[in-house]
Parts: sequence; C-alpha cells; structure tokens
Amino acid sequence: MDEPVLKNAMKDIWAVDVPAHDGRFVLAVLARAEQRRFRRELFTIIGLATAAIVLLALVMPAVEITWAQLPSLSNLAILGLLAAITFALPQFLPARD
Amino acid sequence: MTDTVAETAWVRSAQAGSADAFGRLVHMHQQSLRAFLRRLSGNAADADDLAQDTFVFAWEHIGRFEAGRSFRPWLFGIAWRKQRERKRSWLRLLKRESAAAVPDTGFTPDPGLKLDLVKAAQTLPLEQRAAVFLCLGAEFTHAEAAEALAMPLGTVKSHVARGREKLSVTLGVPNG
Repeated sequence: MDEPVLKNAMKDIWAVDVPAHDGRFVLAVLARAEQRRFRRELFTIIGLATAAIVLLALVMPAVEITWAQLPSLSNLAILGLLAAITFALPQFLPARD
Repeated sequence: MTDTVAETAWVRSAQAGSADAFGRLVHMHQQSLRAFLRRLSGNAADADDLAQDTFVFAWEHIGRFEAGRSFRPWLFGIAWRKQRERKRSWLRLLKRESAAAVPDTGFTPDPGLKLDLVKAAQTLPLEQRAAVFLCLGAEFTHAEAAEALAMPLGTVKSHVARGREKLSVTLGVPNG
C-alpha cells in the first residue's frame, strides 16, 4: 500500500468517533482542574491551620504569662494590631482568575 | 487570525492564568488528542478519562511550556507518558488477577479497508502504533512526533516505515 492511500485511509478513521466540537468535554476538563485546585488549597489550609494550632499550644504558656504582666492598654493595642493584620492580609494575596 | 497565531495567544494568556484561554486550547486539541488515546488504548471511556487528566496536567504545568514552540507535541507528549504509566499499572493489575482482557475498540468505522486498517493497526507494537497514528493520522511531522514520543527522529521514521510495511502485509496490499 503506498503512503498517500494509507495516509488518506488513516485520516478518515483517525477521529471518526470524536466530535470536533464538544463543549461538555471542555467543561469536564475545567471542572476537574478546578476540583483539583480546590482540594489542593483545602489541604494547604488544613496543614497551615494544624501547624498554627500546634505552634499556639506550644507558645501559649509563655504568652499567657507575658499577657498578664502587661497593662490593659497594651493588651488592647496588641488586639487592634492583630485585627488589622487579619483584615489587611487578604488584600496582599494574589487575585485569582 | 490563523490557528497558530491564535494558539500562541491563548497559550500566553493561559500562562498568565486565564482559564478561558486554556478552555479554547482544550477545544482546539480535544478531538485529535482523544482520537490518539482511543487508538492507543482501544477503550473510549478510559481514553477520554486519560485525555482529561492530560489537559488538567497541562493546565497545572503550562508555566513550564516555552512559549513560541509548538503546543501540540508538548501536549501529546504528556498524553503519551500518561498512557504508558497507566498501561504499566494495568499490566501489574492484570498480572495479579491473571485475567485476560478483550479490548473494546469503542467505535465502528466504515467497513472494508478502513475496518481492516483499524484491526491491523491494533496488532502493531505500541510505539509503532503511536508513531504511525501521529504521522499518518494526525498529520504530525516526524520531528513533532519525535518530540511528543520522546524518541530520536530516526527511530520515529523507522517506526513509521516498519508500521506501514506491517500494515501492508497484514492487509495483503503491495507496499508502494
């Protein structure tokens, strides 16, 4: 069989069973990608939260002692600073598509 | 805008994080990629699942793709590696279960030469089949196929020539 004949026959059968336009497939790919991203981010958040809990548990006794020794005005200032950081931090994270 | 120019623009946008641009790339290549994987695996559902995995992997690693190069060989290279990984894990599973599987071709092409061609192609070794389908079916150049299959150019040319020869012998048609 010469190449052009084989090539033509091969081209004819090549994608006979796959539609040229398949919106459902495209959506399925994007949905799968989004699910994987969500799962990855969820695991990252769970990991970070666990690390934060462990760290807090370790440093809490020392923090409590220091906290008790500070005047109440300083305590309020620290609380305000923590609240400001909590609200400001998301503004610096990169925006997503 | 030609396909190549549009593709380059979509690749750049996808690299900048645009899911919409990546969706366009999926739309552009889904037919030939799914066809390639269906011809290799012989099972439509598994091939489509693998095609989705390939696109998701490409989306997650598109930052590594060098803009300006051809996107298609890179994409098919991912599919080829994934197909081989999956085949190896299937082989392990089959060995464990000692079960013989009958491949489901998943489609019914025209009778006559084309049907024979499908059956004959299934008898080729995997590397040869991949090279033949890419070069003769998907109209890849030998260089593009070599890049996608991670094989030297000479090996791809030899696979295509031997594959064509075997197909001619199997189909009982003189090789021209």
